[in-house]
Amino acid sequence: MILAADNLSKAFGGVHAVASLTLDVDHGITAVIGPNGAGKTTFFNLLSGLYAPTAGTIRHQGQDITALGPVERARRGIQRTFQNLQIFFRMSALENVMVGASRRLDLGLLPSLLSLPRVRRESAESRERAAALMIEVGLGDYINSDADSMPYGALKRLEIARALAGQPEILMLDEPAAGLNPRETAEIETLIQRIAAGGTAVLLVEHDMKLVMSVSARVVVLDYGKLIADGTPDQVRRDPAVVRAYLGLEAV
Amino acid sequence: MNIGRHLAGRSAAGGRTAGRRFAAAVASGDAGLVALIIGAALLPLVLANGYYYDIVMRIGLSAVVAIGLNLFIGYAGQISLGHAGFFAIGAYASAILTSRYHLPGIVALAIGAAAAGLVAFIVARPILRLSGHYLAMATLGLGIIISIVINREVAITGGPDGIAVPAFRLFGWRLHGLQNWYWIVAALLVVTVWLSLNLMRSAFGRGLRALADSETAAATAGLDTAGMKARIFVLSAVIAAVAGSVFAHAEGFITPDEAGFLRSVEFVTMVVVGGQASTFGAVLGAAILTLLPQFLAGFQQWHDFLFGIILVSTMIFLPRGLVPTLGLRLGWLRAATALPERGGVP
Ligand SMILES: Nc1ncnc2c1ncn2[C@@H]1O[C@H](COP(=O)(O)OP(=O)(O)OP(=O)(O)O)[C@@H](O)[C@H]1O
Ligand SMILES: [Mg+2]
Repeated sequence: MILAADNLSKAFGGVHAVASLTLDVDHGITAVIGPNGAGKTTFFNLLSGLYAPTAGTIRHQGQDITALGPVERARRGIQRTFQNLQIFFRMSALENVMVGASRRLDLGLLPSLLSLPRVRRESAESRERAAALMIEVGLGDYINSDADSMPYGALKRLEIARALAGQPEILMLDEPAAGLNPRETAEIETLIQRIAAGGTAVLLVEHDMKLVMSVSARVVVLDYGKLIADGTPDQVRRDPAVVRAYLGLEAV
Repeated sequence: MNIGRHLAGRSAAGGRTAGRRFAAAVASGDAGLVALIIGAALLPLVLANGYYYDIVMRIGLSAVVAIGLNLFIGYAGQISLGHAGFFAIGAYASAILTSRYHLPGIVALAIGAAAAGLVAFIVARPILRLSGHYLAMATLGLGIIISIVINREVAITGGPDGIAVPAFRLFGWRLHGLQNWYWIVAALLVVTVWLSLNLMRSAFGRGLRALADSETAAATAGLDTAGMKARIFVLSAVIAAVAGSVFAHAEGFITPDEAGFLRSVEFVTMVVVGGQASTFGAVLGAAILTLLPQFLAGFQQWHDFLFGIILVSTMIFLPRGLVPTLGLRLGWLRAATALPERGGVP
């Protein structure tokens, strides 16, 4: 398995956002669902190292990475997108994607100041790769755009492109279809399937149940920070605990 | 066996390529840099006397500090209200080491730069964990401490009366006269502009701009944001110290005013007025804010007041500063309008 959470907990004051969660994540597409405030984003923040857990451990490829910060985890190939866009708005779309590749770039200060040939070559190559990647994820029209001039749907995809530029081993998508129209959602669905088919493990938080049920091999359900179900989409759909958690929200 | 020769050959080639790269940057239509070089070469033709040389030199050295500070404030999105402290470390290191210890000017300059870099390095990690107002207060405190030390250590620094600085000596050769210093300052400015332009075209520069927009996203992309901020803080301190050393020798006399809080605010104002995240904006800001007070001779008591007014009105009316705003109007630069929301952890 790639990532393993063991008895992972995160409390904010009295709120137990994630409560003793034990979960392995392997290749393929794993969806993490649950009602609003269930702790899904907090779980992602714990996995990507933005939060230190109150208790429990996280392992990556069997190694304990609980003490590592977000930078080290990103460098190990754990990449993510954000529920609230975290775009570099004062940069171009292409530059956003180029920054996504940072973990594989040499960022020496002195060579950069002197514009050594190696730095310029890396920069040129990274530009080419970023442009190719943008075309691949369907952002070809935006290669020369400023990030702050792009429509919301394209920005959601730009976050995915930026994360992919880091060539992730595992990609965490926090509500990639939120706010998208049906056509854009269908495009995102295809994109997620292509990413997984390319060998990248995908951890997907999403409220669009149609999307979740059609792409995921496995669905885990959180409620009040606890794991209440874990199985195939069909198993989860019929699980009484899940139905209860979602009761009055929508039919699962 | 021929490792030595091999290395020598390599370093000579390295020097030549650095020169060629510089020439290429100038040649490849790096219009701003070319204009700066031509302007600096022609300017002495219209500088009538020492008074003008003095002002131009002050502009040049302020511009050098502002360019360094712009890397930290304009690009990386941080704030420092203590950079006059680093300038003063350079200036006083040169003054003290050349006058009391008779060290060659270049050695004193290097020691001053290293000392400023060391101070910046030591405080960087704890200070740069802060942001916004807290970072402003911390750097303000740092500048004030440096200023107090300079004022109090009368036996070494001359205290509030200041200290005379001997001429710059190198291998028995004595550099003197503002006209000669002009060329040193011009060269220093051109090189600083070149370095700044290079940096901002590199992945490191992109990373700096990225972390200014979203430190969270930059970190989760694998950028060592804390380390990058620290390195830029140290670099900007070293640049300020080098400018301080040159200033001390060129002026021949320095006082603790150079380390004062108001000088730090002036440097920040230069960056803000000229345009954050613009190398040439920093140069323009330095020119404007050095020249303006000259037109106000006789109103010296209004000097600080004027700076306050300029700073506040720029932030209200031209939040991007002059050069980026003009650039947008003229379509030089990419249109970057919406200021992003700054969030913590999403
Ligand atoms: N930084 C924080 N400080 C305090 N409380 C927080 C913080 N982050 C999350 N919480 C709380 O933790 C709980 C879980 O929040 P979280 O954002 O993880 O839920 P979620 O499952 O992602 O919800 P949604 O589907 O609405 O995005 C909520 O009660 C939330 O208010
Ligand atoms: Mg969420």
